[in-house]
Amino acid sequence: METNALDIRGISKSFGANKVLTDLNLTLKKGEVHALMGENGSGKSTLIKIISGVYRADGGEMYLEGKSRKFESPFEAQVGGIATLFQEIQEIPDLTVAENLYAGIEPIRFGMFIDWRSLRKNAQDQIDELNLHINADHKMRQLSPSSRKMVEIIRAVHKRGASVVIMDEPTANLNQGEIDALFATIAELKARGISILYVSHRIREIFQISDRISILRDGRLIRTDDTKNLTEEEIVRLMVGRALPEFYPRRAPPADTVSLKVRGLTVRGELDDVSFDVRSKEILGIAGLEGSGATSVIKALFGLRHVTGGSVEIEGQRLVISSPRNSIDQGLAYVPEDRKADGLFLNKTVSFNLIAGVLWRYFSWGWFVVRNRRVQVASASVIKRLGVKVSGPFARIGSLSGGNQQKALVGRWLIGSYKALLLEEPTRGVDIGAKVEIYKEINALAESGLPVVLYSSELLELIGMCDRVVVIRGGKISAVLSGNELTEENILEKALIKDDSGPAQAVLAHPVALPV
Amino acid sequence: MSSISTGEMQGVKAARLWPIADYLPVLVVVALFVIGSLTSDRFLQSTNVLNILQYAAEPAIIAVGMMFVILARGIDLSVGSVMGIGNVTAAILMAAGYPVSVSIVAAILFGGVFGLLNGLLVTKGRMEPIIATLATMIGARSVVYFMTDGAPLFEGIPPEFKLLAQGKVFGVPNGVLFLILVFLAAYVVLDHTKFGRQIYAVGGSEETAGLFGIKVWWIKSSVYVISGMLAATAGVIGASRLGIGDPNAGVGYELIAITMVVVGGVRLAGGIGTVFGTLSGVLIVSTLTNILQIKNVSTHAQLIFLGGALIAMMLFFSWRDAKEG
Repeated sequence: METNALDIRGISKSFGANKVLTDLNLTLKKGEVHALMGENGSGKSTLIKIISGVYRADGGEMYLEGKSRKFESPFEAQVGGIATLFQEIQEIPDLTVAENLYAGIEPIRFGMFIDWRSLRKNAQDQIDELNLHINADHKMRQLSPSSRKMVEIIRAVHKRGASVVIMDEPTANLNQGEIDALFATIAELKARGISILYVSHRIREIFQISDRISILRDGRLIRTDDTKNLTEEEIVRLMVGRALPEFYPRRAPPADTVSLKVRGLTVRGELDDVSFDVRSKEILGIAGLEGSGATSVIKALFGLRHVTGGSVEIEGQRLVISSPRNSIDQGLAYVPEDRKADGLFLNKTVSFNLIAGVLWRYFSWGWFVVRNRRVQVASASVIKRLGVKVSGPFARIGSLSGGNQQKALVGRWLIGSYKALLLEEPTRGVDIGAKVEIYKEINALAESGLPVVLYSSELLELIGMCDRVVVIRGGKISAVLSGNELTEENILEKALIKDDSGPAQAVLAHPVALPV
Repeated sequence: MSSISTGEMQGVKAARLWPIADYLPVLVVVALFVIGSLTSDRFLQSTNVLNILQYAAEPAIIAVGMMFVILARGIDLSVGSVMGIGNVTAAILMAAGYPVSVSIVAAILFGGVFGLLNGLLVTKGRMEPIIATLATMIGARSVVYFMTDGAPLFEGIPPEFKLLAQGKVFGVPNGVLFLILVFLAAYVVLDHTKFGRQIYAVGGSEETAGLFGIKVWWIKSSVYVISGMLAATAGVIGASRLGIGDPNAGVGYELIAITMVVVGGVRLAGGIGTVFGTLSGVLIVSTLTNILQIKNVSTHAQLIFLGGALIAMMLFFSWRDAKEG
């Protein structure tokens, strides 16, 4: 029997109490393109990080070319023969292509000096051999994204002799011509007997490029099969398949009045002509896979993206989108996706964090004095209402658990009055108990009359919480789902697979008559 | 599999908008020379030009060390104090009767020790470079005062040591020769050795440099050692030039050195910059100062011009970076 390029046996990995990978087996044959598919959170990224030496597995074995290997760092994995192309391109942007190819392995003459002539010539020869039109003397930052990706591939494969190449969403940010060039290169690698683990959400591409497909769900391998034995629909079915848990609290139905009206929202390169309505007391979900533009919808509304077209109205008033400050002034409340980086001042107190967005309301004497008493009263009431577990309003928020931090982040908007609530991943990294409390709070905010827009990568959360879900694919709305259509399979199918029925409409007809 | 040939893809994103912008520091030097020669007949005389270079020698040598540090995405505020260390160490050892060569080597190595301290604080101690070197700046100056009791050392400096900086070869002052030597060495190291290119890689992206197998902490520590040794060298040259051990040698030089480096187009965030650029920066600062001196502009007002030049160059660089994206 031929030895496999890579054999993974019984790999397990937990983060705290959270089991991400369970007893996972995966085999990569020599010279095959093996696609790895799974929903967000299925354990794909953890798996590739273990293979490429970023994380260490809790248990299990990894065999490279039949030999048991353990990598302590990404560099060791590289030297050992596994090259990983993360979504973020690994490069030194201000050095030339040739230097990036040879960084750390420069040809030397007279014992210490770099042999620039042969370095440049070898680099250019290598590029020409692959029929790539890249000038080795150009700086990396001058190249197009696909050319930069190619340089990375050349470095990994030709310079470091990798036998296994992991590609994580390699076609994100590439246009069709560039994707074709990438696929031509992949075919070239295959012909040399190099194996490729290809991680992508783009199902069409996977059918175009892969020999076999493995599907992960909840950290387990569900099935590995030849690509020709699988269909798009079957893959979607295999990727989902959990029951909706009971913990999503019930909420009053939405009102009939539209309070947030979005028309033709466009962000160049990310969103294209997105229109939807959100009614008072309604929770509208936004779904979409990485790179689809779904995460940009809320950021665009809040003024974190450069909006190139479209209009937004709140309660009949046109929203001027310019900056977050301006959006808050006009009544938008926002919970960001990345709690630590964008949401909280970690080394400040809980009460500081609660009032940070509305600080000016607590000034008096011409902006010089902060009304500390009022700050305390206001924050204490939020802390009590949300059941945030703190020693007091002056505890540092960084010392709280993730769930309690998240509660504070949502609770920030309970102080003061707003016209719309924008939420990104409101329960990421939060345990179930805290999730339920946050859900209740979101519901309470919606029931108070606010329109709520909720982006989440957890499909069950969208299904459990939302009245309607807008699915984004390739920057456009590909479907609007509600009621019985709102299933994991449907969302995934609309997010993954192109259908030819044209763009869907999330705009409500007037007068409104919706099944609720 | 697609059959579209890869030849059709666009390799290059955009042509450089302003290739000439890379040469701006040189152009400014040329412009200053033109202005200087137009406004004064003394300016272009060989004695004056050599004067410019001699005036520049000590801060320029420090600026070279600073360039190494900045290229690796650091900053070294301690150079002025370490220059003081080099200055008084050499003077004290010679006054105590040690040979000139031993005293010089010891002084430079002592400067290297402070550099190593900076490097370890930044890498192993994970301190912000500006804080670590600020602490060294304060501490090293105190060591200098401690060594000299705060008073200049006039006695016991042998005349052959004074020749080191005061001497001339074919009419060119030795200080100028040292400056040229240091710049040449820096050029060879940065452009033609693995170590030099790794400094650029670390300054460009530490994470990627690590993935490329570069020992990031080692590179970062080394640049501080280089900076410390060059600062001490400048101190030795200063002691030789004046023939005294001066505990206040190098006060404020860290700011002059940083000005020279960034005016020469070295990016403070690391990874971009050339020896040639730094040389231009040195010439900009020293030529400008020289012109102002010839024109009898008061020393108090001179710094306004220097600050103005710094702002103008930085505004230009940031405007260019914004344009090129």
